[in-house]
Amino acid sequence: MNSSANPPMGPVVTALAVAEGRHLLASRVFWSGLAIALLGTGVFIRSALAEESPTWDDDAWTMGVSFFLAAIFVMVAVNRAALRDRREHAVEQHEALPAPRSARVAGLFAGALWPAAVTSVLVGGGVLFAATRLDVPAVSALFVIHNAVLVLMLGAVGLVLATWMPSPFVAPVVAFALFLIAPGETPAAWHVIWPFATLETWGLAAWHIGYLLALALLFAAIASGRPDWRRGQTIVALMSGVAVVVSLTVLISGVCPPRGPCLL
Amino acid sequence: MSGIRLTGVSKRYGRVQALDGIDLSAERGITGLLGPNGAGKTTLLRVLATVQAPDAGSVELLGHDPADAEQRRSIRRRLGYMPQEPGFYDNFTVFEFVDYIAILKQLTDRRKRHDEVREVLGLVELTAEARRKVRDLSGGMRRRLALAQALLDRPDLLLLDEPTSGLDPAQRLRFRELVSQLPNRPVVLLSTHQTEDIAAVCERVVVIAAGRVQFDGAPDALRQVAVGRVWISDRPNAQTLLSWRSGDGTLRHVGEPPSGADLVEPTIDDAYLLLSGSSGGAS
Repeated sequence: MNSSANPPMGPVVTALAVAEGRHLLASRVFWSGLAIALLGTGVFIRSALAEESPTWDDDAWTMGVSFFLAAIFVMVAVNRAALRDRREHAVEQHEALPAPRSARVAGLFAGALWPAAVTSVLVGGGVLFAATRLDVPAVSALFVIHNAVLVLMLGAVGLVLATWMPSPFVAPVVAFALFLIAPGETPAAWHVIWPFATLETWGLAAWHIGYLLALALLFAAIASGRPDWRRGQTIVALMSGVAVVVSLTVLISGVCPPRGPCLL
Repeated sequence: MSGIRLTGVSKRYGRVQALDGIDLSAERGITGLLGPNGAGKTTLLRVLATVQAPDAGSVELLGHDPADAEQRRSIRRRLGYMPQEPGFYDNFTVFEFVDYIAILKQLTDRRKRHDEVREVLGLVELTAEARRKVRDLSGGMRRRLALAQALLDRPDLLLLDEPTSGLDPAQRLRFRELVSQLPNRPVVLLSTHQTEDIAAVCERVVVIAAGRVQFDGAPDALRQVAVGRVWISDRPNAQTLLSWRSGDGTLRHVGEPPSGADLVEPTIDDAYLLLSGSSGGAS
């Protein structure tokens, strides 16, 4: 049954992604976030149906915030999954298994694609519904992709927190901080992850998605760098770090007013 | 297949010398590890499980050096480890938990992996509980679940730390049957306080105390250590290491007998007691 050469980790990561994704979808934390997203979508639909002249800009905001909050719940769910070994005192027996921690981090990161897919399908449904009632700009279709990468990125934040601050209290505190800034309309610090700040032009929206994706990869690389920081992780971290800086620069120059405070 | 070779292995935690120059080798078959609490058995198993590196000495497992990352991974692929206090994912079902461990053991073909999971659950008689949440299992069932994950992929090296603790008598007998009939006859190290288990299934027994090997031989040879040093009488004796009243009302003594003592056949417990030197450690 055993062969002498060590097999590659790719199939392990894929199998872990399936298992972790399934558990993320079944977690109560994810369902709590999903309930908020559904509530926000319901409010959006109701207001769109009730108003005489509803507009996408005014009414879709509720839905956008609710999915942003759902993504924060995914962050907490991923963090809890990553801390499972510590919580259940299973660290020792897992250290005796051949799959390294980096493979498990990669599996969890890829597992976050499941909640990303589920929430994005709902976002897509919301956008499609809106298109039947309102004048929805075509670029708003990117909200679906934006939501997916936002979930993935916040999932990676959950992984980083679990790796470098392995306490069950850290992620809820970070989540609370994100909740506090989520409903704001000011183009201040947090707008760099807020979709509607850039869903006005195709170019900016694309840069925004690229920015979030690079951020997700950067966080994932940092999360997998413990206990052993390897060359592959360094390369991913460096490349995604450069991509983050470039895309953020483009975003800031595109979104922020020329002389006004933007990222303060 | 090479088994395990330890030469001069030492491990210290602060002021505590957990292992003190252990020399040990083992090939296929079951070796029992006996020793009082704090003797170093669990530390020894952790070193063998590649989760802890020794401070000094050399370790070779299944022909590989665990100090090298790639070789360590090769060892881990062929290793089954049941720690003394295994951790479980309470929200997982029994099947999901073992399946998850199987993935981490690099069993990536889904169908084969699921067949393997079903097989090990069958071996430990947890098939009927496969869909139950781990949090709903009894202590004995959790013990068997820990054993199931250790048996995945027919390991060549199987390390079992107190596997029968918490099992009822029938389950312990079933465990003996299982571990003594493993199809690929792996190298098994069985750390336990249950001397009956040692006598029942082990071909060899190693007694450890204060981080050192005190005895290494067959269970019967261990018992021979106590021949002539166990006797019965109807009166207490101040020279005995330990004595207790048997069911028939006589006192059974272990230690240096007085002249003319009524000697009886010793057990492994008696010999272990004499080797470990005090009744306090023989829990």
